Amino acid sequence: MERTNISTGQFFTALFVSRISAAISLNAQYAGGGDLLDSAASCLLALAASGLMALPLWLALRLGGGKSLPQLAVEGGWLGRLVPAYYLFFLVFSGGSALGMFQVFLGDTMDPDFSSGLVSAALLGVALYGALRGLETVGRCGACVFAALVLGGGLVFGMAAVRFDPDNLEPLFYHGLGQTARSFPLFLARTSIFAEMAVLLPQVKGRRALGFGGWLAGTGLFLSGLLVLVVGCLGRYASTQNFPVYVLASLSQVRSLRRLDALFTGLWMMGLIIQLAMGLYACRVCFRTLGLGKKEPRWSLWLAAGAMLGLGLLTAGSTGLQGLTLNPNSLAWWAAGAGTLAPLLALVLGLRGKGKKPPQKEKR
Amino acid sequence: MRKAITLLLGLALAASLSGCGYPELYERILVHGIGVDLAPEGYRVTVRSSSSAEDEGEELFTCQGETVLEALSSLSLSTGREPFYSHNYLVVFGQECARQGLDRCLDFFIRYYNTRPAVSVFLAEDTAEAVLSAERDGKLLKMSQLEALGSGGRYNGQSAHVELLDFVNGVLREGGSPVMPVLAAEEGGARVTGTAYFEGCRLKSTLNLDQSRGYLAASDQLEEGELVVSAPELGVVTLSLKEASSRCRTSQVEEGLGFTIEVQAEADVSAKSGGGGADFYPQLEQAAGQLLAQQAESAIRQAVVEDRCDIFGFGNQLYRQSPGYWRENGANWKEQMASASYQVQARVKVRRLEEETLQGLG
Amino acid sequence: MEKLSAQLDENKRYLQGQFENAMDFMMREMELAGTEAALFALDGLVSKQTVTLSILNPLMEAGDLPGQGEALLQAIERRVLGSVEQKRESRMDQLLLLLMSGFAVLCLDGCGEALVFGVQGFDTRGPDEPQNEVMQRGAKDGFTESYQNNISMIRRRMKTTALKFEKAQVGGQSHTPLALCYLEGVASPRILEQIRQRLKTYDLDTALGAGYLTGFLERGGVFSGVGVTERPDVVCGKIEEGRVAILMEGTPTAILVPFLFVENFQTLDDYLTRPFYGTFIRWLKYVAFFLSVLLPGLYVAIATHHPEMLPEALLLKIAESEAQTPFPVMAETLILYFLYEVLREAGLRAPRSLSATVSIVGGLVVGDTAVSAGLVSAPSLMVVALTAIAGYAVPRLYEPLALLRLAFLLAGNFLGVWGVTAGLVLLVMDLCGTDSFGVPLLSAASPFSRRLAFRDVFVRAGWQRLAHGGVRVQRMPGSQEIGE
Repeated sequence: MERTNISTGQFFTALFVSRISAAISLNAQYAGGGDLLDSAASCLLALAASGLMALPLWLALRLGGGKSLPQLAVEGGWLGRLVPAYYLFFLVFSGGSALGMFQVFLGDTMDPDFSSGLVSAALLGVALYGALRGLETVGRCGACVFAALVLGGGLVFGMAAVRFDPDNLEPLFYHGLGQTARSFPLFLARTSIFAEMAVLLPQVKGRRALGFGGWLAGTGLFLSGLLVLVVGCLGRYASTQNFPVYVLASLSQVRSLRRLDALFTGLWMMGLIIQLAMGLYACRVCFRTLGLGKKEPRWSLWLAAGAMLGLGLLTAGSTGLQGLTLNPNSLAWWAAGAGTLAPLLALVLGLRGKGKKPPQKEKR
Repeated sequence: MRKAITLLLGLALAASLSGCGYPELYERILVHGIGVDLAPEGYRVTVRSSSSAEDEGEELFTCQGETVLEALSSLSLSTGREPFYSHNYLVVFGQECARQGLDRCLDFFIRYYNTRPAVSVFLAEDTAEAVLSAERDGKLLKMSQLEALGSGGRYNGQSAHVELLDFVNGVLREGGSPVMPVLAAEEGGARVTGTAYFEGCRLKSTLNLDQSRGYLAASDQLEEGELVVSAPELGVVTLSLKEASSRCRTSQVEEGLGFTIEVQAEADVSAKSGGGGADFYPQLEQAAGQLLAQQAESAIRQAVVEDRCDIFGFGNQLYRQSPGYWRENGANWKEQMASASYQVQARVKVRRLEEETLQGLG
Repeated sequence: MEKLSAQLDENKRYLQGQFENAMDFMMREMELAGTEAALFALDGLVSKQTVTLSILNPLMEAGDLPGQGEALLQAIERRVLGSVEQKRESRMDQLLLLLMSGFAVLCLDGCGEALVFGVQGFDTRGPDEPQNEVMQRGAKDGFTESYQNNISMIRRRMKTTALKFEKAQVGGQSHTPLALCYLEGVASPRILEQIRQRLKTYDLDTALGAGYLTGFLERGGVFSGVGVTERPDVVCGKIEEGRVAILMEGTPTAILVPFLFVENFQTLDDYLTRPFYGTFIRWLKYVAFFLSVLLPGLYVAIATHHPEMLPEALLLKIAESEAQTPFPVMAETLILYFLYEVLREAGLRAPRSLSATVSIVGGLVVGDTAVSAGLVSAPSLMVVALTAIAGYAVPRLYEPLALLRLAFLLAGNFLGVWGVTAGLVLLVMDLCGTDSFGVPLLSAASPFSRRLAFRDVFVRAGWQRLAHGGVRVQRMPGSQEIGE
């Protein structure tokens, strides 16, 4: 049975889990330098900026009277279809990028005996199943994954934290604000929360603004705390690694129980599944808004999943494409568009549409 | 749909019965120890591995290659098995290899996906092969025993425990220099003979065991150990050190920088011969403190002042506490450290539980 | 023939025709006050002694009776016969059903209604201790095949007029009677209506066990949203929380709906012990469940793809064992698993006289000889044995566990720990997306309710807390009646 409504706690917990799963990819290359503590400061700034960036989105949702931004936009005419199309593209792009990053990580760090593409396909298959079952299913599963991540991550990082050495902590902004500025886009980039809020927030019940604030604070604290832990435990060794968070997890050991990194990777994978499932469901809503089916068409999920998988596989196989899909700068622009430009466009078109038509009862 | 799933499951089951071609555990070489020596055309790598729980590390292989990884990969040419590094306990570098610089051979251990940053590293007094081939009672020395020599520093207080992570951080840290415990192969096994220090990745020199204790004490790594204090009025007293800690204060004086290292430790009298009297304990504490301070100062003098290798992290401390100063003067830290003043104040507090109760023999 | 005829001969012909070649059909003809009468019953279903003492003897000894028709019937009904369960019936299909349910039917010539008497005398089993739900501290009586007895067992424990037993029937040929048991004012009318609707979709001719019915009540998924129990005390506890129990004639089990996932881990003993021990046992079962599901898959995944996770000594032991056996880890585990399932099934189906043989053959051959001969390795056998034992800690989940283990085995073999993880998330997704009569299967864990989760899910709270709160299953978080 498909479920379409969700509570604020479930929605933002699922988004939190999705966001922190991208943390595995934090490294000196994407952060723009070896001063990862500066990036921790950058993270807090970026999340504060996200809050401001999302203001047009909140305004549009408020004035839209319970409609999602794509719904609001299409009321303004054919131009309005650009908004759901943009969100659709961004969600597929974001999901494919995350999948590609995961595959790169698998190949680079774990080098499994089997094809990493097969693992990606399995992930996406599970996400697709969740999206087919509906938003409530994804939200509830997100809460379960959150509990597993807290417990598992707490165990792994707790064990690794024994190695924390204050001597590894470097002075903040020693080399100026350059790295802080360079890593700013990284923390804006690896999230599709703006698109998901724009599309799905009308289906969320409860104190949504509070939930968003909680998401910002929780994500900021987690990511910056993780960076401090990475620096404190690994020191400058972290800047020599492609995936220092993974290396940190590999240090955790209790007596003969070592190398829990595969387990940690499994936990992180769970977050990725939730991210993909949420994105796929949002794609389905966008398809409906585009009028490409009478109801929410199920084939749209398969199509979106196929596109994500294709993009992910291509990303993993092509360094050229990696420069586009994994580049934090380009991703950040797309995210900014999702959070600011698209809502503004939807707002304008929606108001124009309201001005033309008489008030109608809203159909769900 | 259900028929398709059933068919797929059946095929998967059938395929699984064949094992799918993945290597079995016994088809891998479970590497426990790696030794790297310089060879005429690259590196000679010595590998210790196990095939059963009873004979830990019973297999010894030697291979050569232009790089460490090439040498290790050539193992499969002679054994037909794939090397598996995730249970590697330790890496020993040969003396010659360290003199030429470890940066070339170290990169494999940093970059390769299956290696661990928490692996213990050692420097061989001669060749790594000699250390890994050391025997005890006619059998190859177990790798776990060899690894324990590094972590045994927490009991004897004379050998540093250095992992790959610590070594790399020592190289990369501001103004710092890494260290490595030195292993010598001898009859009956191997033993730690001191602590080597490096300039970048090149071996510079070695501290002896007493200096090693001084290094550990001054860098807040001393946990336990035995300290023998001898003086005419004290006799020969063996103290068991416990709960040692140290703190370094930086100051700027007219002549330049000044570093004051305060070491504190508690100690128990484990053995005593000769000596006594009303002032026994105060004198003992003073003598022990002086001895500890001397050992630390000796290590500082040799490594920091003479060889300009900041193994104590003075530069890093300055960098963290006074980044502005470091920004201006960090470039000529080597000169500054040689001219800075170092003062070690060691205070040993002897627990006096036995004072009124135990008389001993002397 | 829809209605009973006023002509006795016609009725006799009809009934004889219906029960032609049925040697248990009995017909006793007699004359009462000059009117022809006949008593019909099925041998084996009625108590002949009761029929004789409470029907035939009073009839024969009745003195002054009115002549015929309705007056005679009324006189017999009111003044002559003293059976407790006695009523009139004129519909032929009901009369046939009552005959086949152990009722005796008295027809009078010239009367279009018959008298039916409840004189059942078929053999029923006594209420033994349930074999599949053994409790240390609970009562030792369990349901029997007679749903009337089962009703009485519940009635004895719940002396309230709110306790209702609503009659229903399924089976085109078997006409198996059901009783929907619930507390009025506590059970949800919406759920009751849903049950009635789903029972209407039952289109089989027979209903020979509770399993026939559960297929029409649940909505698919790996885990069932329909529970069964053999214990009347459990039924009483469940209906008090708003659930509905369905009692079926011929089955010593009651069906419980809605049934949440966490209830698979709850037993009556949890509530008869002290809270801390009840909580400990609850968590033991949770761990046993995950162990049973994941252990084989994780073992194969780690041994094949992630040996770095194993402590060195264990790794060497497994490597040594594997070197001496002809099969890869996955094949070994699969073979052992199937052997175990065959042994289990053989143990269940074999006659008691052969059960010792099954134990010896299974234990010695598989457990000892196969390992000594080097056909299978001891670690693999250990894993399968642990898996099996852990599964017995949660007997209700045995069926899904048996298949899930296989699925995780395959996932672990093909995709390592990531395959197992993906499978686990898929399982959780399925649980999160399934409901039982509008109540989420994973409630109150997800959707999470701190009050309820720490009342009887993660912790078994003390009775001071359990007694208050008025928990109703239809009002669990995420249910249709209250939403997320």
